[in-house]
Amino acid sequence: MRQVLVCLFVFVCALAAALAADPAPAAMETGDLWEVTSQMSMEGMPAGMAIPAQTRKVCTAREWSKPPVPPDEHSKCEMVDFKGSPTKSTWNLRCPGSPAMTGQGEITRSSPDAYTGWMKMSSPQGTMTMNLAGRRVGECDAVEAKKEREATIARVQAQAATYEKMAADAKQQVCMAPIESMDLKSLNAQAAVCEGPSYKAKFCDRLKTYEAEKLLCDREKSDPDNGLTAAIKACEADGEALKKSLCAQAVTAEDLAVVGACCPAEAQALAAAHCAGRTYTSLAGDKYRTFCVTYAKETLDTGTGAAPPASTGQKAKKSLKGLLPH
Amino acid sequence: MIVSAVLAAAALAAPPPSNRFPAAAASYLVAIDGRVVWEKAAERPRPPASLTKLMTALVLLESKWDPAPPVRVSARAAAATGSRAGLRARETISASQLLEAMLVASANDACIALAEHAAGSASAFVLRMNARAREMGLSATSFANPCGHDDPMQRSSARDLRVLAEAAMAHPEIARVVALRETRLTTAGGRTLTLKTGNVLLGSVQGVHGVKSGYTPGAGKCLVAAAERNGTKVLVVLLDAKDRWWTAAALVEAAFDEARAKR
Repeated sequence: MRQVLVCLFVFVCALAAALAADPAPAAMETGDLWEVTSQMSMEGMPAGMAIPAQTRKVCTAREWSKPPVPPDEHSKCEMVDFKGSPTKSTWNLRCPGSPAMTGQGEITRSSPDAYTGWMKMSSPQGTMTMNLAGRRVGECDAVEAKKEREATIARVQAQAATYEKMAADAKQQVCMAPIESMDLKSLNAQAAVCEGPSYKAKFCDRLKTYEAEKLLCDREKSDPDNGLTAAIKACEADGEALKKSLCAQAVTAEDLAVVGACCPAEAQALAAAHCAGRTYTSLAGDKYRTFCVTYAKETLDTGTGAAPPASTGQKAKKSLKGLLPH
Repeated sequence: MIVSAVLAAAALAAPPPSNRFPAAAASYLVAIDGRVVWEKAAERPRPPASLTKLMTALVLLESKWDPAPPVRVSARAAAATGSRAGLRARETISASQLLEAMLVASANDACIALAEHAAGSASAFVLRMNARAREMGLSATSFANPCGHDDPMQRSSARDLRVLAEAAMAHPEIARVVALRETRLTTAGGRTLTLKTGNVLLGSVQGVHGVKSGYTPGAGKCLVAAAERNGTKVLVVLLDAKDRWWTAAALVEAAFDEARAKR
């Protein structure tokens, strides 16, 4: 829907330029003042979103020898292939951007003081139509009108640029969030919106950092589809090397939560060295107590009782040599 | 009618409790947000040791509880065996301080002093405890004394103790006292006694906020522990658990893992 609104916005800009302009009037040239009513509609647009008809006064040159708006470096839409006759004028519209749009316009003058017409723009989202009805209500200073028109176009285009930047910023924020949180599920869910390989590449780049691996490790057991193993698979990374590096850093940093969650061999060695044979109360204030509870939970699950088995003593400490900081 | 039908359907949909941790204890039960998820021999009567004092506290609090009046410690109370606060015969101390001594340090001298104060004698108080157990539908529960000493008629089950613990914790005063890690008593004579909690999970396992531990040779190591994290409530009952603290800490963590996985 946001894309549709952007398209509508561009369309309105193009139309504003079209209606407010005339072909390069000479200095002090007297023009025609028209009161133009426009009504826009779009295929498939919900009834509640219909845009009300608008009536504006615009100043044009007497003779239309070009499309109602000449090519303008400020305008995104280019008016081409203008064909004019006393009773009928037609032209084509080309609007660059994403998505690019093309269109046609036609005005039929039923009298020197009245016309009806339409403009149609096609895009992947559908066709937008603007029906037009003009009534000549007097004369005007075409030179002054041109100046006002150019100021209006500049202002409208500045607003459009601001809006587009805001939309791009918002999209960037939304698309970067799963990378910040290393949330593979969200990354996949947003793939249609955050198109292109760059976001996944960023996710996989970040996977190489210890901070990201910690986040994933935290979810490894509680949410396996969104944990370290799933991320390694999605990124087709070298899981063995990555886990080896992660566990070495975790052991060095004494990051026991990571060791407990993602480094079974190191956890086993740590538990044997620091938990085995110890009572819960003897670990009061000990940095290993939380880790030992996690280990106790694992052993309880094996059906052997919660207390870390008292056994391995010196052997365990030897196996930790080289893993733990001294 | 519709609400009942929905609740009945929900109850039918919930899987029955499993014995996921057979080595945890002779009898145990773990409830998450009021639903029992794991249990073993949870209906089997066993000696409850000092978990009994949850009923003692409940009956006291439900019987025109007045924390202020000084209670005179009898010779019988002062001679109580097992865990004690160290009260002396003929000493006086407020009922509220005795309640703290009974629930924080499982003090049997405070327990008997309170029972005698409330009912005239420990045996008269036990009648009230048994009546309350019947009212609550605790079919596996009976008491022979107010403090939990071993006796063939002193028994309860993990299921009954869960109901009892939840009823006790619904009383703000009990919930407050069982969360204390330490209490300081001052007798009318000015003697001060500092007592530490027997529940070592308090302050060591995140979210644990009560309730009571117990031990007798007949009961083994027992515990009821309540914990709450981010609105999820866990209750663990252990009867005769060899590695009571490891097991309880591990069960609390496993229960929160389970709750998180089910969300």
